[in-house]
Amino acid sequence: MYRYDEQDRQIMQERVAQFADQTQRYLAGELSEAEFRALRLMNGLYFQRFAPMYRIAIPYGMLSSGQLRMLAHIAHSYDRGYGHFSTRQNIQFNWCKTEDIPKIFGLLASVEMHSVQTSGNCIRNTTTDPLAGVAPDELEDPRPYCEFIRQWSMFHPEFAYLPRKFKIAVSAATQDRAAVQVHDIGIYLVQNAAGETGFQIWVGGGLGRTPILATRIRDFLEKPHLLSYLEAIVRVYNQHGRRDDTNRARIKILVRDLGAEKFAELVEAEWVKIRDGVLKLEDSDLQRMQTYFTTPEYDAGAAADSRFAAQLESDKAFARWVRYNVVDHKQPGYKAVYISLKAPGIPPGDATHEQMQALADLADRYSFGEVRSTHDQNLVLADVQQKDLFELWQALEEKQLATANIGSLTDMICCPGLDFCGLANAGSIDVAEKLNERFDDMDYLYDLGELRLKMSGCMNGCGHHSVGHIGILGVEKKGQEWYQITLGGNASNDASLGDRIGPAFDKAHVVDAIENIVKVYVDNRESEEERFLDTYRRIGMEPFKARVYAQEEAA
Amino acid sequence: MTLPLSKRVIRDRQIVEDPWLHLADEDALPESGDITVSLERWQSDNDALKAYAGHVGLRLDSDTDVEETGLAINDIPLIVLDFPIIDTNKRGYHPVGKGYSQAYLLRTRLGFKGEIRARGPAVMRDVLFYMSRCGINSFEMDESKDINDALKAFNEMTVAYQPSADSMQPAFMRRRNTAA
Ligand code: SF4
Repeated sequence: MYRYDEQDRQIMQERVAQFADQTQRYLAGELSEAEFRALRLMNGLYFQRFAPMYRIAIPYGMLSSGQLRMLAHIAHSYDRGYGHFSTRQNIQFNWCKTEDIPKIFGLLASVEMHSVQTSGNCIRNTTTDPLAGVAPDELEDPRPYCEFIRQWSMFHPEFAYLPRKFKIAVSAATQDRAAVQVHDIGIYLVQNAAGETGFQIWVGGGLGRTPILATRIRDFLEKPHLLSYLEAIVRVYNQHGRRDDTNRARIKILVRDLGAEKFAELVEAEWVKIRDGVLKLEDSDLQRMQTYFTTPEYDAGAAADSRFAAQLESDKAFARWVRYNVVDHKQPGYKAVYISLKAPGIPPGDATHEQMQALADLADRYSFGEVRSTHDQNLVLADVQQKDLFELWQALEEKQLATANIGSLTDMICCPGLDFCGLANAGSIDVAEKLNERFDDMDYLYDLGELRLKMSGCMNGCGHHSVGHIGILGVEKKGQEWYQITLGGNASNDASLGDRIGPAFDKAHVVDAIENIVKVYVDNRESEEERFLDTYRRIGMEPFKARVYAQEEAA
Repeated sequence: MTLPLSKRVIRDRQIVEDPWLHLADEDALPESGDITVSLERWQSDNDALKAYAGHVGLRLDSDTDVEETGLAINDIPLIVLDFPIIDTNKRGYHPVGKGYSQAYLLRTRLGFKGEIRARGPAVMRDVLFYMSRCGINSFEMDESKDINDALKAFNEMTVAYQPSADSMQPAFMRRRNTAA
């Protein structure tokens, strides 16, 4: 993974000192609440419902074991013992004290981490495929480009006060595991007719109040131009994006209002003026960056192992975990392992400091000391030998980290909702818990197959409800918590936005409604292979609507 | 139209007395002295301004496309950019960041060599460094802000990750040299 050099270290140290000074001036009353707001947000510090929330960047989801240990230490010493992994591959702490933040920031810097631009109207952490570098369906490792983007966007003097937040995602695999099309800029690595690898550029995706999928504005961009092209897009956005209404300030609205074609014209016109300027990357730059992401020293004989096959035969629970949580690897004899942070009774995405410590140790023992975070709020050990899987599974079991539910209904994405977030209309964690109780029959759950449930506590859509196969959105009606349900959303290659089923449900009925929706699917699917999403796309909304509201009336 | 005398600004990282008077559109031209006017006045009152004895600077609002003013920009001694704060949807303090791109374009694309000044409520110590990277070299802050303290802003960051309108060499270019 990327390691800081002298320059990275210096820039971070300077930032830490700067933020410590800003915080101190705020606490001393020299900076007003309002003035400090933009400054603290740009360092990931929110003032929330009960306590400040501190969001730490995990650049494109990569964590070393040492970094994870530091997060565990922060959870233990400065929070209430746990952290929450977000849908942007970041981690947030909900109970830190404002005056401790500069110190925590310093601790982060000591392990080459930071919280810069994890909030505010600036370019946020770039995200990517959690299987980057190991996925069999990958064209090329996307992480070197993510790191270029990290550096270019960080402390960018021109783009610190954009109309609104700005998110970039990169994917290099056939299957999009980074939800590229719901980002302000989405990048797919692709090959052109000549067999060269470059970038396909999408813009204007975003969730929230007005969910919109991104539009492709460039089929192929040569590698040296990555940064100049991004700069052109963001400059056009900074100049033309709306600022009069927060709900219309994202680039998606600009692209929609201008039309993607016109927007693309503006970008190209800007880009030709800078494409051969200082931002142009040289081959040597690209090569230097790639040296940070070389393949680890795999054991060439790993595939010769026969223990794994025997263990699969003999242990059903292990086999089940492997089936759901373990995926193929490009290196024979190796697997990538999803660590589910969706155990029943625990808020989705939460991990305790003990779990983080344990995972760091397991990463050292089994996976070259690296861990990744995923956009659906789980973790990944990306380089595990198949012969070690059984032992790893047992160790994970001990820490409640082996819930075999990846991709299933209980592997839901869920924002913090009313429990923590100042903007929330309704609780999401408690609904998640009820869903877990309702769908506690694992066999039934497995029978349902891939079913992506996503839930947000308000229109802002941090829980990506619009692109859930089933989406749940918390709304407020007369001071009560209500839930709107959408069906048919999807965040992968064939991305789509969910359709609303009808009137919202109150807390007492939302879980029943989900259960009924699931029953309609089970009754109507053509085969066990047909996923919920595919059934919905085939049969449409009516059968779901009929069942769900019939039940309502009878009740 | 009286102006606090001895108004002070930061120019080229030093605190200096400010000679400029910002003339509102309805204000009559003074007898003498350096003034700034809005783009509208610049265009509508062009003859009078040409004949004016003192220097005339130009104030641009943040919506102006600096590449499209049609002016001989390099004959202008001072361009003042506006940095407002808006309270969008009552969600609070929202500094408008268009001026950063305006400054960058003035310096790099239009080759503007004169003074570029940042003015408006968003101008404060903690943004001066980014502003200066974008090519702004003078700063007019609200009286309530500590101008001496603001000078510290320029020394807080000594490394840059990306090129802008200043002379800081970005990290990726520096690495080319060290690796060779
Ligand atoms: S979706 Fe709404 S409630 Fe949930 S975290 Fe985002 S802003 Fe808060």
